[in-house]
This record gives sequence, structure tokens and C-alpha cells, in this order.
Amino acid sequence: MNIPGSEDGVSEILGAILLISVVVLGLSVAGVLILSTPPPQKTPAISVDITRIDGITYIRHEGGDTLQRSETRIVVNGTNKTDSFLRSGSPWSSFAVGDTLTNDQLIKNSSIMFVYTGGSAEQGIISLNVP
Amino acid sequence: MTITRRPAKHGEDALSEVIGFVILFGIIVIVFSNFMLFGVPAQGRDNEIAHMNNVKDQFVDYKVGLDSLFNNNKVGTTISNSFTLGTGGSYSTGAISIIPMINPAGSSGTIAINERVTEYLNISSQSRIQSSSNPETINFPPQRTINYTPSHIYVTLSGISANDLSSGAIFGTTINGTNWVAMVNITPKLTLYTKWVVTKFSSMSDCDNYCLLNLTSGCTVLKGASECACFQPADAYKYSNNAALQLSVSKNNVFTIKDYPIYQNISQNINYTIDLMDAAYGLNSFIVPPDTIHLVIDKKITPTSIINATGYFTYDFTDMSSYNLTLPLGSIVYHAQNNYWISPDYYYQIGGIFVTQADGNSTYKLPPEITFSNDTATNIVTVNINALVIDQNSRGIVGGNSPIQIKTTLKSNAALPYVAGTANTKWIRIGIITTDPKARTMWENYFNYTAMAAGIPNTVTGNTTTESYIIIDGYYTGDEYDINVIASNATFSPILHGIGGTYT
Repeated sequence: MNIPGSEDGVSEILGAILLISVVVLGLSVAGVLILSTPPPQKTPAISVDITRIDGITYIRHEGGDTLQRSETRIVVNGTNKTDSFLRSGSPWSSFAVGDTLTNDQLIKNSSIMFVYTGGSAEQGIISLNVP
Repeated sequence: MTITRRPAKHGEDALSEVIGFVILFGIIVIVFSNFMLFGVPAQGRDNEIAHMNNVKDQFVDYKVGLDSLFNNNKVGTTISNSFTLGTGGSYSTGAISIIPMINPAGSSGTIAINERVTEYLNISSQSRIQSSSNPETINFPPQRTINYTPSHIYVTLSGISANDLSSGAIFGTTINGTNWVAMVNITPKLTLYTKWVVTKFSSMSDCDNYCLLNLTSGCTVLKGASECACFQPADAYKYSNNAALQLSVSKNNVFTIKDYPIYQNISQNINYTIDLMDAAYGLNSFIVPPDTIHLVIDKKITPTSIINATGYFTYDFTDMSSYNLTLPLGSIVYHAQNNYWISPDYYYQIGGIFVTQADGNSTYKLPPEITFSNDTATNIVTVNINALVIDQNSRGIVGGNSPIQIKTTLKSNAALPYVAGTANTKWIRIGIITTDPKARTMWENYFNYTAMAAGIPNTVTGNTTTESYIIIDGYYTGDEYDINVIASNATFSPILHGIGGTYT
């Protein structure tokens, strides 16, 4: 039987459209998963020693990565106190092995957290308690 | 029914498969590249940070081991420690580990003996230094305080006469300090002799009967014209002139020596001396300065007796206006060769563990054995120096990523000749001579911090082109002995044994 206006091409087009849609959708999902996920963040790893003598708190860098002030916040009891820390009596720009940060405004048992702000998300580096 | 296919102007059947394959391949490449770019370095970095923490712990174990040898004075004893030089590569088998690229490259390291620049501990001070050539003598009574461990405590008995050795004379002297007592007595000597017991009888028959009954006891009969006597021998004691000089020692109210004869058969007109610091009496390790020595005489004398007891103690030291000592320190260094993290150097030196990095300075993980303390009650500063050095003749270096063993022997251990006791020094200068500028900065910071933390008065710290130093003048800046230096020097001799890696 001869069917006027043959429609066998419509199914091919629909199939192609569906296939392309699935592929595009899959690619989009994969792309979003791969490209939108931030690369592993290299949070600085440091070792420090904290002491308190005559009301002054000393934080000594005992080894590990160097912290840049532009990428670090020092949070004391939930408040940003980065500016109140000094290195050799002056505002600090970096905190490397052998350096000592001092602060004369901290009371005993204050909670100190070094936060890395250089990555895509802030991340705590180390948490200390003032002895 | 006939189905007719419209002829395609351009055949595209194969193109979709190629595009699909290319897209899939691209996805795989992107995923793999991301993992290689970010995942592997992150994993390698974590491995290396963990390994550096392990190395630090291994150095702490090493220090504890050496300290135990030193504190227990185990000269000649060897201990073994191991260090892991690197993280190693992949140790897994099967699955995806057959693709080496997805594992981070293993790190390595080297450990070496005395590879750092030669560094010296330099001590200068105005101190009292042990020397037997010119002893200082202090007499007692009256009571005297000993500020240093005396080399001798002499007690002399003089003016002994014949009467002092008789049974009717009693002479003794008591010397005591904190928790110890020594008693020196003259003890007349009892002598055993045979005494004849005489029993007299007026009746001859009674005498004969008595003697007959006591024949076994050695009765000897002596008869006269009108009386008879039986002589029987018996043991008896009497005081002789062979008196002894005896010593009794009590420590913590417990007698450790009781009536021990120091001199037998003493004679009149001779002086007798006892050294209480003689090791035989057990007081030399018990008398600890500061202590106060009392001497009390207990005697019953005849009116003409001149017997007496006196004492004196001696310090074997010399006041040196400038006593200098220089010791090469040596070191044991671990140098990391990390691929994904910083490569710190750890090293053991003079009882401390130090770390140094290319992107910073040096600092200490565990402080060296130079410490200060201040007694505000006595205003005396105590300086403790344990110069734990590595033998300069020891050499060795091992590199690689496998574990290594280090065997360390305590070669020698001796106290430095600062006189033991209370303050023995007027001023002291402690310096670390090194050409490493990071080490100089670190030592200056250490001296500053340690002196400040201990509240040491009148200190000066400095840093020259060759040395970091601290000068301690004590509480009294004048001419006073107000610093107590307690120092010793131990030498360790390490040997490296590589397990794989390069051994030279």
C-alpha cells in the first residue's frame, strides 16, 4: 500500500532530538560536576606553640607553611582580631617558621582560630586556647 | 506495501558515532586530567605532611632515648632508633594501582651525622671551679653553714690524757646537720681476765667436802695450820687503757653505723681525726648544701682534763675570674626531599630538636638543654647546662625512602667542674658559635624567651656575625656570687645503618 506523505523521517528526527537531548543533558551534568567543583584546596598546614607570660600571649611558628596575612584571619572568641597581633612589635605580613606573634589583649582560656581565606571557601587551620 | 527511502543528499550515519566517541573520550580525559592535576598532588601533600609529623615524632623518641642514657649515666650502653626517610610510592596491588600515574610520587630524604656546619657551645664565667690545689678551710664550732659540697669534714679529738681513757671518763661529741647525726666517742675498752674466787673454811672437813663438790670447776685447795681455802677460777672484765674511738652515724633518725671503731687502742697525747665525708661512712652523698653543721661536746672530765673536739671542713675550689669552655656540639640532621610540600630539615643538637625551612627561619620543636630558673626567695639564678654533644669523629649519611636504623652509644658523661652547692658564679656568658644565620637568630630568640619566661634579672642577649649569646649577671650586679651553674658534658657516638637506599 502506498501511503501518501510518508512519515518515517519524523521518527528519526524525534529519535535524534531525544538522543541529542540526553547526550547534552549528560554532558551538562558531567560538566557541572567536574568544572563547578572547586579544585582541592591546599589549606596551610602549620605547627605552633602558644604560651602566656606576664599577660602577653606568644604564638611561635614551629614549622609548616608560611601564612600570609592577606590570606589569614585570626579569630579570637568569634571576633576577628587579626590586627591585634604583632610580630617583633610591628603589624605582621607573614607568619613563617621561627616567627612569634604576640598579643597583650588576650585573657586566659581565650579561643584562637587561624582561618585560611585564600581558597574558594574559608577553612580553619588550627585552633588554640590561651593557657 | 512498498517502503521507499528518500535518498540522503549527504551520508551522516557514521558521523554521529565518531562525535559520540570523541565526546566520551573527551569526558574521560577531562576527568583524568582533573584528578592528575588536583587530586594526586593533594594526596601526595597529605602523605608528606603526615610523614613529616612521623619524622618529628621519631626525633622526639630519639631525644628521649638519649636523655635516658644521660640521666641514668649508662656510659657504654647503646640504643637503637629508626627513622623513615620517605613516604614511599604505591604499595597496593591490583585494581587501578596498575596505573602508576594516579599515585603520588614518593618522597625521600637523607639523614646525616655532623653534616651541619660545626657549631660550638662557648661558656665563659667568673666561677668557683673545683680544684684540690688550694682548698678553702672553715673551722667549727661555732656552727657553720656549708654552701657547697665539702670535700672533707674533719673532726679532731685532741688533748687526750690517761684519765680520759679510764673507766671513769666519758667523752663524746655530736656533729649534726639536716637529717643526719654523727657521734664520735671515746670508749674505754673492757678486758676479759681470770679472777680467783676464794672460799675460806675453818673446818678442814668442810673444806675438803666443798672442794670435792667443786672439783670440776677447777677448785684448788690451799690448807694452812688452822684454816683451809678453796681457790676457784672465774671470768671477769675490767677497763683497760686500750680505749677505742668509735663512730655512730644516723640518717633520717635511723642508725646506719653503730659504735664502729675507727681507731683501736688510742693513746694519750695524740690527736685523732675522722673525715665524715669518707665514703665508708655513707654521709658524703647525704650531706647536701646548703646545710648547717653543729658540733656539741658531751664529756665528763677530771679537773685537769683538757680533752677537746674541734672540726673544719674544706672546699676544693678555686675562684677563677674567667673560666672558659668551648665544646663542639655536633648534630644529626634529617633533610626531607618532598615533592608536594615544603622540605624542612630536622636536626638534633644539644638535647633539642630543631626545624629549619627554606621559606622561613629556624626554631626548636623541643628546647635544648640550656635552661634558667630564678629563686626569688634567695635571689639566686640557676643555670642548667647539659652539653649533650655528638662525637666529632662520628660520620655517616644515608639517603633514600626506606627506614634506617641509628645506633647511639653514650661514650662519656661527666659533670663540668663548677663547684656543687649554692651560688658558684658571679656572671656567665653562654654563646653558640655558628655561621648559620638562621641558627643564630633562633638561638638569640631562645635565649631571650627562656630568660624572660624564667624572670631572670640583668640579662643581655646579642647576635654577632659568628655567635649568639646571653650574659647573665644575676640579681646583684656587683661582686656577688648569685648564680648557680650546674653543668655536665656527655658525648654520644651514633652509627647509621641503611636498610636499602644509599650508604656511604
